[in-house]
Amino acid sequence: MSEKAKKMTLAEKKEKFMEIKPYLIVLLIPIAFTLLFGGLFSPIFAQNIPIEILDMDQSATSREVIDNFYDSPTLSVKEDVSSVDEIKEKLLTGEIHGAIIIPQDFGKDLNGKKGAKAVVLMDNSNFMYGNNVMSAVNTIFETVNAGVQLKYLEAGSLVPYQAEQSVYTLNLVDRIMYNPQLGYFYYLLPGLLAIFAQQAFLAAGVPILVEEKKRLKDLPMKLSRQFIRVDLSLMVRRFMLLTGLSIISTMICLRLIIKIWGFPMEGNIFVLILFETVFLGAVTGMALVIASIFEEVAHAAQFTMFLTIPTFLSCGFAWPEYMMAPGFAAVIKAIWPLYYYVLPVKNIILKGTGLELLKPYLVGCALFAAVWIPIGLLLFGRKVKIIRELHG
Amino acid sequence: MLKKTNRITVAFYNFKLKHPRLVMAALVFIIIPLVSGLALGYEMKADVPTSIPTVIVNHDDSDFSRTFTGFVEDSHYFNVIEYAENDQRIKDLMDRDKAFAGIIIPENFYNDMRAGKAPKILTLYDGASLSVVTTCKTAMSEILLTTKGAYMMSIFEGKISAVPDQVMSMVTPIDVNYKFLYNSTKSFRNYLLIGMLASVIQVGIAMQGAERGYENQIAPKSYPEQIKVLGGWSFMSMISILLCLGVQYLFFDMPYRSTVWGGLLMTFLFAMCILTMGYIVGNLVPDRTFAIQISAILVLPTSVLGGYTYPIEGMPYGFQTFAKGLPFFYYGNWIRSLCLKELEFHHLMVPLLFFIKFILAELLIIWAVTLFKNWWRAKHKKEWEVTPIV
Repeated sequence: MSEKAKKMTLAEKKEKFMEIKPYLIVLLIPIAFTLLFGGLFSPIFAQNIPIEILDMDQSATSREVIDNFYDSPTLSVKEDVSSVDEIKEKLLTGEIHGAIIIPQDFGKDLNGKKGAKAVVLMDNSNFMYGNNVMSAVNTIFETVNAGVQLKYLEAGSLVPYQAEQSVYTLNLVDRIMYNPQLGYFYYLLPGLLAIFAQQAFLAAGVPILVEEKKRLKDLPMKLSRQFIRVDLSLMVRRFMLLTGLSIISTMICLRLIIKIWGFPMEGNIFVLILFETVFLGAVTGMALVIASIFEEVAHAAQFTMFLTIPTFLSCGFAWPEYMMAPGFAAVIKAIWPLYYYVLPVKNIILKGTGLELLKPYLVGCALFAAVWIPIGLLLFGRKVKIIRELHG
Repeated sequence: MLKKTNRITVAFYNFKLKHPRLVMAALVFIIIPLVSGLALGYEMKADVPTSIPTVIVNHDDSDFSRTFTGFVEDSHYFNVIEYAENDQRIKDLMDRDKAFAGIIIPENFYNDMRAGKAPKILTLYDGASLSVVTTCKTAMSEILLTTKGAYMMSIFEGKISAVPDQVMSMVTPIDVNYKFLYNSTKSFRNYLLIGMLASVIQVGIAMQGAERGYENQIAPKSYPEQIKVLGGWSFMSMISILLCLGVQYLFFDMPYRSTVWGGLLMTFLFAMCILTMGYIVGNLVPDRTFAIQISAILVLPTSVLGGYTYPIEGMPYGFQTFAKGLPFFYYGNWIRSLCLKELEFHHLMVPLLFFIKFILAELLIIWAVTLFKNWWRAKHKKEWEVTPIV
């Protein structure tokens, strides 16, 4: 085999590579991107977000409060500004993402039970920053407040136990289901797996179909039915191979994220495989439609690459269906199948949801495939016929 | 003979064959930006997650707990879809994507509270829907703080006989005023769409760059001519980004509060960075489709790697350093800042300098590649007596 490879000319090697390229894309691209994004999101929490503290009081009390912020792993505190204007300038340029301003007489007011004030500024243009800063700062101020309240109550004749119970009563206990650490990685990865599968499949499948269309254009007009049947079955087998490789790739991706980053896989792997099979069938319908529109492989490839972000943002993953504008969900479900796959993937992986509950998605996806594969075949066949007539 | 119904298809087909560049340029630079901008802008019209489907399980049934659930019902952030009998119902509805939040108030909650047993209200969120949870948690905390504030006032008044003037300052010893700057309403569109749309367009820009680079392989141009091509197509690319963001500005209330000239210059330089990157790939990779795919794959992940949605402070150190070398890290974050903050030209020095350095490095690479190819062609022309395509 290696001897044969050695004897091949550069042109032959290139041809061989182009032959196996679609299969390599489907198999390897999702794995490469999973490793890349897995590494990127692996820390789970955002840490050391830069903030400034402006202490205009400069009292022992304000110092005591400020010291608490240095212990927060979320925040990276600096105190090198002397005015609010400087803070605003740093917030504008993104040098810091939050600021705490302790006004004059802060300590006096707190000690005198007059109610001290503090101002927290947060850069909410990217509210991932705003939320993280708010959460960290709020926790610290709540802890400080609770400590002060305890002192007040104990000074007012309550025994420490009673005081503590009074202060800590009526609290919320938050439980984040399916993603306990509220990590971005856990949230995003099921969606990414779905989009990797979709895009790799399209990047491999659409060029095959466009090439096929080009080839058919140049064949003699009167082809026997036998020939067409052989040709069609070859195409079906190639797409089945792509589907199989795509499923293998998704399984490898899952295995990797479980092994390397301890990602939880709650659901049944066979349900996931079933969904991916039906989904790729539906995507095949769309691949046929795209291939029937474009004459050049390069143009079709450009169009399929474009679909990545818009289909991801409109499939109900980042922006849930109930929040979509009227009519949008119905249209998107009718023209693109990702909705029927991405949400089940998320639910299977994170929630462990079974087939029973996911049946509506499966039926929807199967219906989508049942409608769009014939439409795709019809459009593709019609286009082939027209260009054959034109060039024949 | 073709049917009449096929005439439009044939006309379009012939037009595409005659003007492939025009058709793709129109698709990439005009149609896709407009359609993406309009569709995604419309999809996220609600802008902020509100009416979050919520289930309440109230085991207490006291006036106090009903007051609390009343606050939840009154909040426009929550839509109480069901008062369930058992806790499991919340999980069932979350599994079906019918509910995103749940509240469980334990039995004897109010009595336990009065007895000083510090009972807790359990709130559950669907962590698989992060965009909803972040809003949910903040809104729920606000409701609780209001309820708790009233309760603490009664404690201070009743148990330590504080005078009413003092009570408020004892309930909240430090009154913190939180100010959410630049996107105070937590608009999801302003947070996400501005950069994401630019990210959609940058994929097209890179691929068009690859096309131009590949054309240079087939019909080589001189170095100044190549720069002219890059300049012209970068201008087109800038128009494409402006068109896409313009749709948001005109139809979906996207603000633009900063220097216009700074924004234009930054957009042009960013477009040139990406187009030239694609051009280099197209100029080197011998297969046209593969060159396009590589150039797209080079820029596609930068919408995530560039720390646009996920803070780079949350990435491992190596990724942070890498992000700072990506054009989208600067463009994504700064174009959002230009829209939401009031920036002046001098604030833009960091991204502008980065883009200029990046472009200069790219032009240097193109120069080196051109020199090498000219030398190679000249060398083999003598051997083969024809000019080879590189």
